[in-house]
Amino acid sequence: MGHLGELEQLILFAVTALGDNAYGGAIRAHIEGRSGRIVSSGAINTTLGRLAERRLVVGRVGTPVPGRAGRPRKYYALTPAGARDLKASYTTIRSMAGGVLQRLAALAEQGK
Amino acid sequence: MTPRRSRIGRLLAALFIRGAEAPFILRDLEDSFNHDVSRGLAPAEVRRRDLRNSLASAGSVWAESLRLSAWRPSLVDVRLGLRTIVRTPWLSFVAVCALAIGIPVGLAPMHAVDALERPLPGDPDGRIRTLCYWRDTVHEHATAGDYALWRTSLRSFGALAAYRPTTVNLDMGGAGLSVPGIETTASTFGILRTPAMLGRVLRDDDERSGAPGVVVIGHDLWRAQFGGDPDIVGRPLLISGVPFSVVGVMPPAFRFPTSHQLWLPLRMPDDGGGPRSGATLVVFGKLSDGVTPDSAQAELQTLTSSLAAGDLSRRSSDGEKADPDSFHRLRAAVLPAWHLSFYFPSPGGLRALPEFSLVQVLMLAPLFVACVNVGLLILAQTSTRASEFALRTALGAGRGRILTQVFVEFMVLAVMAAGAGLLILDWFSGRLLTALGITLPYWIDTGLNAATVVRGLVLAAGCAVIAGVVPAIRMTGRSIDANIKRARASRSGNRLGGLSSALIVIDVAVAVVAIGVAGGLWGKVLATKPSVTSDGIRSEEILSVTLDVPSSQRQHVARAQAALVERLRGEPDVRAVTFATALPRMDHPVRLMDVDRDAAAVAAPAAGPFKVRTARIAIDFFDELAQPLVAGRGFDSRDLKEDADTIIVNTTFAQRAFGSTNPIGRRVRQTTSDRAPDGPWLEIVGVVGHMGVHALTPSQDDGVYLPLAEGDVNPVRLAIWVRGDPAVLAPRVHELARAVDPTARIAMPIPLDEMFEGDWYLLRAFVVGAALLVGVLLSLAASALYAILSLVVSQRTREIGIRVALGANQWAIARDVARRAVVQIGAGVLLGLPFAGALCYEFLELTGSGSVPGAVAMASVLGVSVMLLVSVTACTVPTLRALRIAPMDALRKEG
Repeated sequence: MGHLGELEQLILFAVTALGDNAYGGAIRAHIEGRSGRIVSSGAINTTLGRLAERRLVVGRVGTPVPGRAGRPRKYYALTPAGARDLKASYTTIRSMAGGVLQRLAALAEQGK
Repeated sequence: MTPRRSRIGRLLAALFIRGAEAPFILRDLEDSFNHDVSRGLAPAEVRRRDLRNSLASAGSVWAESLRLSAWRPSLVDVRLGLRTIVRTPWLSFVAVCALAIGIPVGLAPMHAVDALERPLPGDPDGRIRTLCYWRDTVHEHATAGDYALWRTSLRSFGALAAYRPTTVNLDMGGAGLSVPGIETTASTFGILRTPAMLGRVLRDDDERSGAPGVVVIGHDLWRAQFGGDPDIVGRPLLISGVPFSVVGVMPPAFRFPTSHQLWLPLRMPDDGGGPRSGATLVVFGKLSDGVTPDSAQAELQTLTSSLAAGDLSRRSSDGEKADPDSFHRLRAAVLPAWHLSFYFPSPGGLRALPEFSLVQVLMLAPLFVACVNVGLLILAQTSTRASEFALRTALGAGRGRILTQVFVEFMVLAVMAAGAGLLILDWFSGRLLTALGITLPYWIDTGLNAATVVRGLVLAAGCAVIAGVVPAIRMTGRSIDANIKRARASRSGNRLGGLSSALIVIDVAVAVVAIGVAGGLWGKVLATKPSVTSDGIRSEEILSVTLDVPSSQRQHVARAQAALVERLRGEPDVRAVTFATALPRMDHPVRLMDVDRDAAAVAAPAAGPFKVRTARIAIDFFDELAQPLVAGRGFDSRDLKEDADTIIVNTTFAQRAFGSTNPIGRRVRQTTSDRAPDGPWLEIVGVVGHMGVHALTPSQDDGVYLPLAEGDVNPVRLAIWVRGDPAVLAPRVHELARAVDPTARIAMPIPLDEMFEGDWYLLRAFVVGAALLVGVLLSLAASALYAILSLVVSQRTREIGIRVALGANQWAIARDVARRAVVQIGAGVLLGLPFAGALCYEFLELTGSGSVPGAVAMASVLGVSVMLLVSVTACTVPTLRALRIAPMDALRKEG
């Protein structure tokens, strides 16, 4: 199992959630809508390129849709290896977070 | 109102977002913008977010292209590199040859320094150090008095040793044999921890006055002269007529300090004269445990400073005038052991000299030229691979991936070249020195070492970047669309653009510089070759010997020196004899001289202080060598008095310091670049012509002469002007010296012209090597220029066809094609000529010689002519071919 960075996890969750409609612009909007985090289109595409190199996602070029210069979108889908890695990462985070959320909340309250 | 995308954002995105993923990222930028619009955000907010997204995306893409992991080379790349070599054998051959010549030349300076600056065998930590002095930039040996003081005062050294080189005359059954040897203290063998192979090494009691004469001989001498006799120990040996007994034979690897084969005990009749007195010695020692070189240096400098302070106060109270051999501006130094054999003008060695950096840059220049030329050839070749790159890009290969492949492809070539270059360096360095008759110290290894191999690989990587990756960056710096269009266009009027122009200009400029400098060097050889007319010294008739009287008693030394001079003058074949600290054409020590600005009628053309070469000479020096003074008078007995402060200058210094005014009566004094006190004012009483104060520029440097009495300096150089062959007189000089004083030693008997010849042959060998290198580089530059220009012109075949079809004049077309090449060549020449001139005049000190500027000009004209000829041919041949094709054929063929 390979290590997944935070942005990689966010992107893989977004790809999973968006299903057949997972292209860069949609992924960006999904991440911003769910986490409030703004990620540039370039960062999303280069990260997806790296994930594709590791065979965690697979990309396909869609048919050109109306727009400037008729540029196509590139759609991504999670591979079984990607699903395994994402699940393992999520499990790790959840097990690490187990029992400490209340403590975190208490510590955060002290700081107020 | 529907907001519009930020123009700046779109422009930046289009400019900086490149590569296979670029269309999708640009599409996503549009999608994100449309998404923000559909969310109902304010137009200004939408534009701000779009601009920020575009900028951040451009940054992400660039950061990704620089990511190291994107540059993963693979075995496939290596295989592709090998396949490219097979497919383009001539290009590969030329590239490997060019780099295989350039790489060893570029490596040579550092390799030489590594070879020189090595610790002695058996001392890997470099704890054996030499102790010496520096006065300004001149190295000065210690004396017997210094050695005696250091041995009792310094706590930083566990053991100290001293020696002095000598040429030993062995009597081998009637035949004389000169053998390089040293007189040394027994502690030398203890410090070097080398036992004898047979018998024993020297012992402390061998140094006692009156002890039996013993000698230790080297392995080579034992084998060559004694047939490897196992019973050699105890055998008698006549040295200069005196019986000695062989007590030991050293192992083959021991030739301390350089390539010596005979070791005699050092017997000093007295060493009680105090520091800076007595015979000159080379002193070295081993640091005590826990002592660092810096702390040893500090201890020695503290001792020297206290001695200098005492010396100054004593001289002030006694009213003595400054003695050049005192502690004035003297610095003590504890240096690595390789300083035993090499006297660089800096305690830091070669690396610390600014000239070394210059040499390093100059030696790397040929490699740079080779890289640029190979780069031009690669550019010509990669332009034919534009379609391959476009296809690979379209199939998803990123720019970094293609650059990695090109880098690895060229790295394969460069590593082959580096391997060949390292073998050349290994083979050439040892043989060159042997061919030049240079004997290196026994502990130097000129073979390859790990540092040189690593540097070779680094240079290879640099070559791969300059010659391979830069052209590839040029070829891949476009989007897929542009690459595909370009690939299609390359069959017609495609241009190589500004990079090729820049490379051609640099190429021509560097070629002009190289040719100019080579011409300058050749001119220097022509100007330097000595002759009787250049300085009036009949060096082929003068025998130079060093007379060393091992005593700290000035009167004793003076008597011996005067007696030997008188005895020599009585010899029938001797025309004249005189003595000095340095003879004509030898390297005279450099000092800084200041001119008295307060004197009236100052009209000096230069401000000073001046770097001048100095010698102390006997008062009859000019008379004996038949050198008439140009103005004023020569030295006489008045100039030897305590209160006489007089000096004679040569015409070069007089001209530079005083111009056309009369220098007689003007004053100069020795000065320094630091805050040390200046010397006393000295009145100029005479001007003499050029007599040679430097080995390689015998008639060009500034020189001044100070009076020298017998006994002032020990050892001194004797100049013996003889009738006939001076070498024949050498044995007689030994005899006379022994007759005058049994302890006196004669060293380095050599005719003056032979002393110079060695330097001159070295210079000539260097110039021949440089000329060969420049020839190869010029050929390479010419072939690269031809390749790139003919490619550029042949790619204009379609354009030429259209112009001919439209009725354009053929000569006008040919002129138009040639114009660009001529402009590039002209720019290169204009760029290169000033550098060539500056290098020649500034660094080769080529002043005052008529033939040198001529040689530079001739070489530059030759280089420019070759380049122009190549350019015209490269433009003309494809142009004529294009003009001969019928316009319709050309259009059909290229369309």
